[in-house]
Amino acid sequence: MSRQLVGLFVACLVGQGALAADNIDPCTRFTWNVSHELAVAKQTPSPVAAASQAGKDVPPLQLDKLYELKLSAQNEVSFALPPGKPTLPDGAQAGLARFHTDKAGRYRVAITSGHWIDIVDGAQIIKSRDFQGARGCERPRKIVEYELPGGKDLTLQLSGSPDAAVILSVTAVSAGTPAS
Amino acid sequence: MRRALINAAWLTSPFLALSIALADTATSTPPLSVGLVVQEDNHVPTPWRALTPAEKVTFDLGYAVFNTSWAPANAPAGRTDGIGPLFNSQSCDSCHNSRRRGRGPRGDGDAPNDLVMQLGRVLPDGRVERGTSEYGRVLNTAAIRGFAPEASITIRYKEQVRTLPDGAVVRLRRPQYLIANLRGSALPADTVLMPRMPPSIYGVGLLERVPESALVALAADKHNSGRVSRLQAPGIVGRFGWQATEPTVASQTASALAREMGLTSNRIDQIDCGQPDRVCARAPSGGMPEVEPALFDALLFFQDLHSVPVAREAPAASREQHLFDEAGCSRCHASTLPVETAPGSRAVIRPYTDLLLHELGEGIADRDLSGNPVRSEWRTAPLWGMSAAVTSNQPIRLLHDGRARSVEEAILWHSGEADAARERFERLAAAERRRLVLWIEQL
Repeated sequence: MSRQLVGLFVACLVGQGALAADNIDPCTRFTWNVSHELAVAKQTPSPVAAASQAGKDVPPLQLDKLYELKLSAQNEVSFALPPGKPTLPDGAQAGLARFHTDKAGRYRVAITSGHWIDIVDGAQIIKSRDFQGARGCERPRKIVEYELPGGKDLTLQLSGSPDAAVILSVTAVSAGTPAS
Repeated sequence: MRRALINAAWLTSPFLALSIALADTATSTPPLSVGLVVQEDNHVPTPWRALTPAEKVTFDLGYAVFNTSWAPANAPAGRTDGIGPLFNSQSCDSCHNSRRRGRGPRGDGDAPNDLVMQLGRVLPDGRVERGTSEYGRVLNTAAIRGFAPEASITIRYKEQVRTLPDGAVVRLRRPQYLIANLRGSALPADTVLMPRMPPSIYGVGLLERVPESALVALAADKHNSGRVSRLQAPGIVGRFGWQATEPTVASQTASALAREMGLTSNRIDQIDCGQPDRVCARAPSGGMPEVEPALFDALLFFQDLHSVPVAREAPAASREQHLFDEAGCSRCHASTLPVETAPGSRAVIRPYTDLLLHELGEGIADRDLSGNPVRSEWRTAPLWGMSAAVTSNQPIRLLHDGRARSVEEAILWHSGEADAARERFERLAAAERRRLVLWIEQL
């Protein structure tokens, strides 16, 4: 009986699934609650030139605002720390920005590219808690979540993707949002 | 016991406590295996033997290749262009999740990109021929700009309850797949859907070093019902992939690059376009081969030398190992296998696999589009490195399709040749079951 049901399910939906699938906004397919990130992604992005070396000229980003970061050739970028995942530099674009956390808690970085994201706190890279993407959703293409300390100026490093510009936001996850 | 602790000079990370223990089989104390590296932070790849400075450069290059996201041909041109036009993921790492097993499906919804849907056709004699003429070996669910993916895949799980002899209830989930948005013709009725999770790359070079004679001997053992995977090419033994369809790390890697990333290499010069798919076949190329030989070789070297990170050294003789043996798990998940780490240099590994094929029942068999199970044999999955999956802070997804959300669920899906072992596990007292599962999670 169950075998027949499996078969029926596959056979019917192979033929009929396309119509239903085409009407769905792919950005609704995140399984986390990303309504805040999607709302921020609808802002008009502010253009910012990402820094190509760590230091005082690294541009600041405000939380919950949308930016378009212009990046530089990765082999010309001096990172605060080596990227958490080294990649071949060929054609890759990279850059640095910074942001401040008032409170400790969960934060998300949402981007429209496949760049590897590092958040650097002094001499250490803070590991991500989790990440998500939704197939077909380009803005944002990827959301990475972190548990960050409060009262900190943190460095955001992007590396390992050929996209020379990336639309990006850093958001604080509100206390009521379920853990991802 | 002679135990040589090798501290590779280039490993200076404070996160690492590297100990590579060399086996000495001449003594009575059970040797620790080659390949295990006690490592607090398994994000950092470590080799299972010391490297020369030149080897270290190659190892690091291979690691970078493993992580690199490939770009469409000429966008920009260089060593890392040529992905697609059809693919599943842009980098090895995006599926193999920091070299661990894939993250896999969390629940109902779009299949994640690391769950690859392979295709086959049922032959009249019941065997499965891999691939279809129109879609090739793998349904590619992503495409570069200007091309359409071959299909989209959605999963729905149907829960079923298993009550154990002591009344404990375990909820299992069986996947159902929705294949939609096919870019070509409907799938033939005799198509077999073969969902596959990316396995860990831990220790694959050592698995390749297990002599074929050891596999033959295991298959001949009356306590082991498995068989050696004999591939079509005469004399070639399969040992990689969920069904031991690939003989070497090199062939497995080249196949994955061609079928799941649309990248040619010096081993496979055709990507996975089905025969009628001329548009795909005429797509711009990132060079021939698209993965330059030096990069491909470095990628192989990196995998060949990659160790198996473990949270701590497990004692070889333990109550849990005894439970594992008594239940019959170790008849297939063989605790030790011999390896030849270099010509004339022998050691043992503790991979908890026999690298043989076993029939595990209809419950986890692949199915055709009508839901009929097809003949499916599975290579015993290595259990070493399980602790890295458990400590990743992510939910674990086990078995070939990621349906099992825990070690216990995975065990309960075992049937066929594993019926007796599963039943013995089910009859253990709850505390013993927990103890055994916890031990497996620490391997």
